[in-house]
Amino acid sequence: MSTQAERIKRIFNLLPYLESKKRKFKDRIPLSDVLSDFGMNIKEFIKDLDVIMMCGIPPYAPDDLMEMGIEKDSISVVRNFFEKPGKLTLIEALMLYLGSEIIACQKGTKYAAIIESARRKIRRTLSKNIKEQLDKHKDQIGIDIVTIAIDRLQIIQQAIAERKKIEIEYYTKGRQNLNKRVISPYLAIICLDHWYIVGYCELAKEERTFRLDRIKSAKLTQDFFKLPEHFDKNKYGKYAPYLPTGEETEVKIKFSPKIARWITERAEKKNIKKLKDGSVILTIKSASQNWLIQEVLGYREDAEIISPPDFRKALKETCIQALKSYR
Amino acid sequence: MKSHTERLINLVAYLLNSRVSVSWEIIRKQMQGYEKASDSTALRMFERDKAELKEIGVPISYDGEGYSISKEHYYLPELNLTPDEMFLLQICSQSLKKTPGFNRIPEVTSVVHKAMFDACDLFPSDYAQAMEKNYILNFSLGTDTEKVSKLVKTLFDAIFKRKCVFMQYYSIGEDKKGSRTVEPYSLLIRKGIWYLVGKDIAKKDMRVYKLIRISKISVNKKSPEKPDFTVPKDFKIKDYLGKRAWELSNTDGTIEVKVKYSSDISWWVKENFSDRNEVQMNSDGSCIIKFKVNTIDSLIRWIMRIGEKAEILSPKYVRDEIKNAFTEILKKY
Repeated sequence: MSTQAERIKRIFNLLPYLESKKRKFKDRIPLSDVLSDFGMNIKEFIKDLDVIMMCGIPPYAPDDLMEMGIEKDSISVVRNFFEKPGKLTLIEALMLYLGSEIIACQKGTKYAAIIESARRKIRRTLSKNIKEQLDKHKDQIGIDIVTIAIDRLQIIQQAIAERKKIEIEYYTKGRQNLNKRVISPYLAIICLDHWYIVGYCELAKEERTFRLDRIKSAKLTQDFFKLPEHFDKNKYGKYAPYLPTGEETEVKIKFSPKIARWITERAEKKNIKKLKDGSVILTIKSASQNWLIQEVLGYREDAEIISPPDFRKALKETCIQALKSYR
Repeated sequence: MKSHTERLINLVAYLLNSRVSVSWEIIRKQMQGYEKASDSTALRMFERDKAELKEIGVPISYDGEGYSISKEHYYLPELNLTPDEMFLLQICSQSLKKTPGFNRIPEVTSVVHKAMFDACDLFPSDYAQAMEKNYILNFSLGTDTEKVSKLVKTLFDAIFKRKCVFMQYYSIGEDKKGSRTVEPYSLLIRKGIWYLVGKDIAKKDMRVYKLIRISKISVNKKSPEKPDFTVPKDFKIKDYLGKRAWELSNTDGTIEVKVKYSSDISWWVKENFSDRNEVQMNSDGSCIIKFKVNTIDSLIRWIMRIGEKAEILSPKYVRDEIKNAFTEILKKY
């Protein structure tokens, strides 16, 4: 879409938006709110305002033109011919549906119920044609999110909101065992396709990340916790739900020429060394020996741990144990 | 002459605020924007303007004598959203905006402005506020975000208008680039990676393409307003969601593979796979699951990761294959 078409859409949204803000702020609509809500800089906004001020209704006398102004850091609206926003367009309805799907698909939770109710209210305002189109177009984007363990998510969501500790049974994939722990849940993350819970673990005596589907059971306790002042949610979720601990081991893995392309596509270039025979060596840092061994085994004969020796030894032992079942 | 943008705003402002319908002759005479053009040019401009406004959701109606925009038809009725509902919608939209691809679609923002129109002050409940303070909704990560963003935007438009796309695609299996003409049906985000689901015209079959492997894409420019294809009625994006690698492509024909899991992970297996596969719980807590498998290698790779906690029971040739794989690995160590 051209910049001009985007601008037209923006102005048609901006006008009723300013009208609604006028009701709240009278003549002092904060300029910073407008710029941040529309993702514009001041230059772009002034350009839009210049266009708006030239528009109005016949006979275009001064009183027939829209009138708005900027004073220091606020905007005043004197005359505006757009009282309300237009009904939702098909793409808007689709974006609303997709954006809210991330919460709505967790059926049975309180948040999903709130979103479902909002969706119903909005759907009622759509024309018959848009409703039909929306149902057709819903299949245009699919978001793959694991929707199991919702009963536990519901308990954890309550614990997060009420700041209550929970007792969980957790399956540690690295160690492949199930254990009980009491955690203070600070944060829930949807990262890629899974839910993760970040919180203080009384068993590990440190902040840990737990994948929701590996929580076998969750029970709300009556003990409250306080969110630590130093807790910064923004350090999570940017790249992965797990944070480096600083105690990771550097591991070198060799991949055969057969699968080298897939590894190269996925890994950061600086961590890949290409060999003459077409194979590649990937250098990564791993916090869990067991986890890494499982990952390497997933590449069958096409991957080999080069170093460190104790990782090689452990992988060999895993193969010996697994083979016992196939005698 | 007034700019195109000014003319559209003037036209909507005029018709929206006029009590009666207005004939084209009066519009042309009174409204700024058409007055300097010749009769035929002005009429063509007007027709184009109406079409453009219709596309952005402004309904101009004609009653036989003149044109009007009914406030009732155009304006969004009161939504009566609760503060919690508005608050959560805002959070959803913010997370969508952070996602490469969606960040280029302006409607992600405009829909929230519309939904929030009635809100004077938001006083969401503590429970709803906890969603902002204690949640991160992030479902698309990864590198090359600028390239992916552009592709998502192009493909979204093509899917929406049902136009074919021509693209260069790197087939990683064959290690070569080739041209593809595709009927794009849907976009898919799986594990933070974007895919295109569509029909390969030459192969006459459905294909899933990874966006980062697409280059030199263009949308069919012929008859831009006319769709190139109809999406098959039985196409459902849900058929492509929640699938494991061994369920995706049918390279080996569907076979049943029986796998036994030890008691400490049987609950997890049951929870994850019982919706599509038969699970039998044993008295010792272990379980046996019958997988429907399309690609045996993918299942073997997954079972191998579980080590001694899982054992393939049948068929024998799959059992032998995993045994051989472990034996071959051992030789390296």
